[in-house]
Amino acid sequence: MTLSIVITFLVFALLRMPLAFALGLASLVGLFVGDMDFSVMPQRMMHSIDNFPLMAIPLFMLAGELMVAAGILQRLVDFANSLVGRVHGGLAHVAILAGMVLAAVSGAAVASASALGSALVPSMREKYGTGYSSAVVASAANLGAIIPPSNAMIVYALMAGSTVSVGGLFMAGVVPGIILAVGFMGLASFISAKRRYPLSGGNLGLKHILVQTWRALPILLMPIVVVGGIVAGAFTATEGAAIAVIYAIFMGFFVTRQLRLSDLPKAMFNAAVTAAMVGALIAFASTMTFAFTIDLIPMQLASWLKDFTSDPQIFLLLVMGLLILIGMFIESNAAYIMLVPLLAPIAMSYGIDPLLFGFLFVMNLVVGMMTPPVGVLLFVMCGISNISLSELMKSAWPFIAFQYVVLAACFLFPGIVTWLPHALGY
Amino acid sequence: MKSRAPWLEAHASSPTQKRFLVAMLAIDRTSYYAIILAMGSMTLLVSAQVFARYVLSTSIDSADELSRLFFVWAIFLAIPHGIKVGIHVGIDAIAGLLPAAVQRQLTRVMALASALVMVTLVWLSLGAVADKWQQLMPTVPVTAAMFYIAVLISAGHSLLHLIAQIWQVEPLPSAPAAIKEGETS
Repeated sequence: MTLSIVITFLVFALLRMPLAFALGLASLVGLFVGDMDFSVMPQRMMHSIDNFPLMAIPLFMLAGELMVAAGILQRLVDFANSLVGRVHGGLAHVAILAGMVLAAVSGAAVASASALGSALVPSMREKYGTGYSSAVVASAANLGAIIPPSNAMIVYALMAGSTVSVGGLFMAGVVPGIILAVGFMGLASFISAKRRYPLSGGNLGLKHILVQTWRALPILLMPIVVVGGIVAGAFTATEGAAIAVIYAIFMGFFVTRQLRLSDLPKAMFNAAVTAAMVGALIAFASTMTFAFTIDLIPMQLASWLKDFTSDPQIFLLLVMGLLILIGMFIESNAAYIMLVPLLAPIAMSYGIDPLLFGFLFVMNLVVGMMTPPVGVLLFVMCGISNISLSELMKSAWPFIAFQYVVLAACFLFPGIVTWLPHALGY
Repeated sequence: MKSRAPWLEAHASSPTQKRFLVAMLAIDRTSYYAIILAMGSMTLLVSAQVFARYVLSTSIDSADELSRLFFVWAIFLAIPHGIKVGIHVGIDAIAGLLPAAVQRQLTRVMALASALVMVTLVWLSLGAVADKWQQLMPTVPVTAAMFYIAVLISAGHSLLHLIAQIWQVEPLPSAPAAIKEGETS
């Protein structure tokens, strides 16, 4: 049964059938070959979506949509510009800092890329050229899946079951996220100085910084309230996401006053359709994972891996290599949904810290989002900036290489990932 | 009707296609409002539960179950709209190497294969709805089949969008304002 599922999925997926439907077709073939009751399919699909923690994804997406419609991006850019606009590569720093804060609001890399790209690339390309501007924005947007809240981490935690908490994973992303952001800024400074890009932004002034910080304060407080509440156990990730939506509506109507009632339906619809992409994958993959369980695939895979190596480090390296390869070709959500239920229990049996494994899993696929040939963020930026992939890659590779360096550092020095969540009791 | 007439002329070459697109527009529009209703209700219920717990020191019994129901509906109803705007991704690495004309035909063949999945799912969901019809949800006096009705509608609506792809007709935008603004999705 498993073999027929895998072959059917691979054939149709490689022929560009949408992955969700290829999973559905492969599941039907598997049920037929395994002579199983087909009625299991709608049951598995419905039960996989009927899940309270999963609700956090469309709600965080909705919060991000509303925050952008509320005009927070301009305030963020003004705030970042007041802090770092005057240094070499100022606008690049502004993009990275704004991306970092936006990441802490929306939790989604692709949405951040669209918002940041539309807002910043037009002004950045005049000073730095299109390729470099797009590469910086894509890198800044990629922080969205690392810095909490992260939709990728929510999907991982959901697929891993009770072995790892969303709050713990969120905290695991904090230190690496800061390292990435600071490293991107260092790279931007180095490249800007080397290429002698002109200075931008006004003179640094304490009063100006204070004014811009005051204007941006409600936005900066949102991740503290939402993520803080989740980590402190005051509310669940889903409740935190709903609070983020209410917060964004309040901000838009009463603080920035740019949100209109007519913006709400569009934001809700867009959030639902984007979340449905993840939802369709989860729903259609559910029958496949059920068939794998019937065939005892997780146990067989664990036994095969244990025969191959008993060293957890080698197992981790194997998984990371596999994920880098998969991340280059498959949309990351599909990879979480298909692989986490198989690999997370095996990692546990090797005695690997679930938070470390979860974070490395997520970060591998996040870096894959910027790695050709199927780096979804690269394609989003190519679309926004109207440039070719090869032109974008000429400027993007240092930022991609740096992400791999941080990934390797997290593997070699797990404390980077696990120190904060462990200190907070996860 | 006036605002969408140029769309129909541009996207339908026969009276049958026009009727199909008008019917699709009605279904898409109904689904659009249902998604908004489901998303709004879900957000309000989850927020109200937090408010009730911390401010009123109580809890809304049915909030969890109802919010999950609205979530299931929002996600399943949104899947067909995702087909329309091409949000359900595939692997381009190999198919992208083929000539453009072959790629177009391949897209239609894959839409046909996806449509077969949806036909099967419609049939299976009908069985699930019939099976659960007598069963009530634990906290609300409503049939538990409500969850499966979302799957049934999603599969049926998706099937229509896949037929549109096979037939190579482009449905009109779901959002009412989008037609006036001239958006394509």
